[in-house]
Amino acid sequence: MFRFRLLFTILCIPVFLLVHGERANGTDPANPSGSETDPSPEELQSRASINGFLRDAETGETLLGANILLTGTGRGATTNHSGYYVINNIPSGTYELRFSYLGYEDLRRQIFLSEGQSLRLDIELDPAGFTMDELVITSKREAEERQNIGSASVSTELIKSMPSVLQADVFRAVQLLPGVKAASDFSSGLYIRGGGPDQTLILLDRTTVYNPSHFFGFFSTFNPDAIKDVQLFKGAYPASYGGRLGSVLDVYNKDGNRNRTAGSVSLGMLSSRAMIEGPYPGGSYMLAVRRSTLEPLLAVLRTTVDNVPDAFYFFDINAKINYDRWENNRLSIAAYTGTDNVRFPFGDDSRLNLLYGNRTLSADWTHLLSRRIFTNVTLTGSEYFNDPLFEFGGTEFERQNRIYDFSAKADIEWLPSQDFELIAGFWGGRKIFRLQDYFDGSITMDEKIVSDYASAYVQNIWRPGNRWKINAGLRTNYYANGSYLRLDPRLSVDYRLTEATRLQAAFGRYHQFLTLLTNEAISAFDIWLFTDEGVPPAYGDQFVLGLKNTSLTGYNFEFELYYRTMRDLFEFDPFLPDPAGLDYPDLFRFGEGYASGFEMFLEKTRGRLYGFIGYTWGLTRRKFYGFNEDRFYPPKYDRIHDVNIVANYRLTRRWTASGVFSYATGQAFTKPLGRTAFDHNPFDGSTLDAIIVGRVNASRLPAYHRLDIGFTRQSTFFGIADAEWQFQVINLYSRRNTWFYLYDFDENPVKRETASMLPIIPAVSYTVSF
Amino acid sequence: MNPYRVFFISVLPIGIASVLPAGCDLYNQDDYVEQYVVSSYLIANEPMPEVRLSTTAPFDETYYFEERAVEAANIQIHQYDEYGNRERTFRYFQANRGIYKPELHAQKELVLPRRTYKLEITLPRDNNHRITAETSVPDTFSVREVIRDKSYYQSSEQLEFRITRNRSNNRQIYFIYATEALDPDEENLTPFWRDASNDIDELTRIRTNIVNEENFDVNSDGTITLRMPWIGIAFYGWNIISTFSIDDNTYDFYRSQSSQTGGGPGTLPPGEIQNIIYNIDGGIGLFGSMSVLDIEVEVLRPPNL
Repeated sequence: MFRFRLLFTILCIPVFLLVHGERANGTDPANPSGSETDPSPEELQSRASINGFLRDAETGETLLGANILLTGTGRGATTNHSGYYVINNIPSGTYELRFSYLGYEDLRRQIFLSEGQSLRLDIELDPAGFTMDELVITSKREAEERQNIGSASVSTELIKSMPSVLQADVFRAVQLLPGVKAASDFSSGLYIRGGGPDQTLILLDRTTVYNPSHFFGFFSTFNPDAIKDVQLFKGAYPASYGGRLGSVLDVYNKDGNRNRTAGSVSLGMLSSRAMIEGPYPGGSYMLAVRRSTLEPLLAVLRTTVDNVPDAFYFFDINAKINYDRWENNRLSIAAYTGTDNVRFPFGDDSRLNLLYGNRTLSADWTHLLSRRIFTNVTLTGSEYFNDPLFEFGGTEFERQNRIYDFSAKADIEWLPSQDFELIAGFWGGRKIFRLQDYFDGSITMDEKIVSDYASAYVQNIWRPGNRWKINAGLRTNYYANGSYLRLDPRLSVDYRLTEATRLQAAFGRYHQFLTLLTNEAISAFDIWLFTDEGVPPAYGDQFVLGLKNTSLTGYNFEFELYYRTMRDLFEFDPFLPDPAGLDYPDLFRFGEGYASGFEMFLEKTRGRLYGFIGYTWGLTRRKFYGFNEDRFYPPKYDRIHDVNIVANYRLTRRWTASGVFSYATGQAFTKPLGRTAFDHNPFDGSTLDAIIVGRVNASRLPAYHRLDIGFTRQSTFFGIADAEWQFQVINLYSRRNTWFYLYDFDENPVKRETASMLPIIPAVSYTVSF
Repeated sequence: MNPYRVFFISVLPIGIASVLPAGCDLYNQDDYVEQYVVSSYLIANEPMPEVRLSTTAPFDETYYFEERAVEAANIQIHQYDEYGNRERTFRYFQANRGIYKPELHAQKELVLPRRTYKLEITLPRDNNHRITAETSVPDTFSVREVIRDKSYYQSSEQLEFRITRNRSNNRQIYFIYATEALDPDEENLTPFWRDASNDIDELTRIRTNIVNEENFDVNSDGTITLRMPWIGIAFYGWNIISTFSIDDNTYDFYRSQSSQTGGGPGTLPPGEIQNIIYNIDGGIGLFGSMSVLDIEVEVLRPPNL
């Protein structure tokens, strides 16, 4: 019967809903084991339900992924991305409801439900103060939702508290999670479970962001002051997401404080930030601004050093306004703009101008159609621009890359019973891609691709009994250019072995319709390229097994094993000297790949000492036809062992110490085996040196390790506002980790030189919050 | 049941079992293997070229061609017409260590455009090891009109010519430009190149990377208008601009070689090195061909420089 239901669920979810939706009830208080008999339709009609929103009592921010438990019944719910929850089919009676969320005080509420009652219960939770001994920093979400297979979440507290290079950064915090790797100290790019940065879908308020980096890729564009929630799906993500082979990073900005005007000002060595949020008669708003503050340093340098940039700055602005005075509707408009600008004259007759950034705008409407049906409609617009210009000796090389992505999204969640949930949605829009190259003032390449795209999904979460949770879904993707129609089945199964132990398995197929032209070193020149006629979408399968355990109070343990394939990979051909005049498919090389590994995550969430240890064993291989004799090889970012230890210790009420230690196998590199030279070329008569290699990337750089420490002191700003000092030392023992090797052919034999990563860097910042 | 016991008896073995095959995915660093290296450029309407033959050197050792030169090789180049018929064979002799030249009676024979040349090398000292390669020589082209052969450096009026088109192999033409200064005096260096290098000899003749035909204007009569980019001028005064139309072998070699040494588009991660594309069987190197057009121009120094 179970097998039949599973198959039935996957193949025929709507029919299943009609037949079983209202019947698939959970346990009742009298029978928590779940071995109940199904109630009759009459009983169902008479049962009650509870629904509402969960919010932060201080700010009014909705709480995403919070837990609501009907104590003693085994029934419960988790708030969705809008902070909404619903518990259905509750027999009449008196109950205790328990609301909990990490970093907040639990709240218990006695309620009485009469027959057929639909109780709207909006709840506000008090944040746990710093005096609390059980403060949880590593914000993996409470209970089940936070330990779903392949998922992890990062709190803004973690982002702000951990030592970071010059300023707090979302991606740097995410890079500490098992399964996530960094390309280098200089890159905030996310390399997740063997995938490159292009394989992670990055959403800000449900809007795609294409190149979320500042400072040539050193930082991500997400301002930690503006962020409410960061949810990472490392793999086997559900059908509600799509468009990338590997993973999803879903970032939500704050809605703004609904109760009082508040804000903060933070001064740092690289940049400074200011944020203000507060209520207005219709709802709330939030505005966060960040800008680099290097100008004084550059001015000083110009007096003593040549080749100092004329301009070198970045800024970003996040804004959001909500209207939520209706009981069942909420409107919000969110906007983001971020720009990096470099004007750098160098040498006697050369210059680099670089302007790149993102702009996004989204309008979101959340509507409660009924207590069981939740809808969300979003209109999004996203622009990515990247305009590098080099000039050498009066000759300009200019590139203009634009992506415009306009889309409409609609999702509907139907929660007919405690044990059955249906989510369906649509995401369609138009992508406009433009790549123009100019050489010496003349346009040499003008590629414009306009493509409509659409995807629709249906996802069903079914809990047949207390032990099982099955999430089955199907996503269809359509990409007009090339008329590509692809189907992505997804399935995850969760089995509760004991009260504290869960076994999980997941499978999914994923398609990707774009690729990134990047060299991993600097992301400021990244160019996105799209699938088209002759360039089919990449696809891959993911298989994940997991074990989650919370049997030790204050500790979480997670283990996940993954294997994934990557087929029809397409990348810009690195041997292409000049794309002018080539057919679009000729710009690419095609290949395939796979990745496997396992991750272990041990987290301590309570006490004065809290933090986590993450370990990853991973292996990634790729091959491209015509390269490396068509053999699979590890990409540079492949690291077999990867350990991160994050620890925080509350020294006193005012002082907190934090430390991050990272160790990783050295990255892959290609060891030159031989050399030769070609004299007397007919063009300029120079000697061309040639390196002979064997297997590409078959050697390893020295192991990477680094220790960062920080101290935070809480104080007040002349008694009128809270203040915080942060003192940090990055790379405490100044380990000069190797980035890559350079070869000097002017020496004979060739001299190898080392390009190193960051040395020791002290940093200090001061933040005032009001 | 103790959850950790479950973990150790169920999930962990599965994990190890899954990982072990991957762990056996041996991808070890291989060892250096010596290879033969060929170098020869055929230029249309110029004499048959020399062939240089050597071996590679281990990367951490010194490299001098003379020390790596290969002697006593039997070398010949066969010439084929456009229909694949062999027209003649050029036999080579060793003129210097590792440097082979056509036999004396053939040394003034010219390379013909639109012909295919096949290189054949056998090495009696190495069990008659055989090295082969072939190239099709691009058609020649000519100047139809000199629009401007004298201009002030970096003025908006660039050096400009109209040339005939030599489309072949159903692909666009790949160009490399070289500029040779006829008066390479340090005083005549342009600002960019003065900053780029202190070695006058290095700058006397400079070249561009590969430039595709599509970068230039194609006129209604089928000719191409070339505008010389100012970056290609290292010295004020008289210069010879050579426009090379290159074959597939030269295209493959130069585009892949530049990605090794940082002169290419730079999309490979730092530290990842791919071998050069050689198109040679039994060895590595370049057996390439091209046609070339030389134009003499005068670059005037602007009054403010």
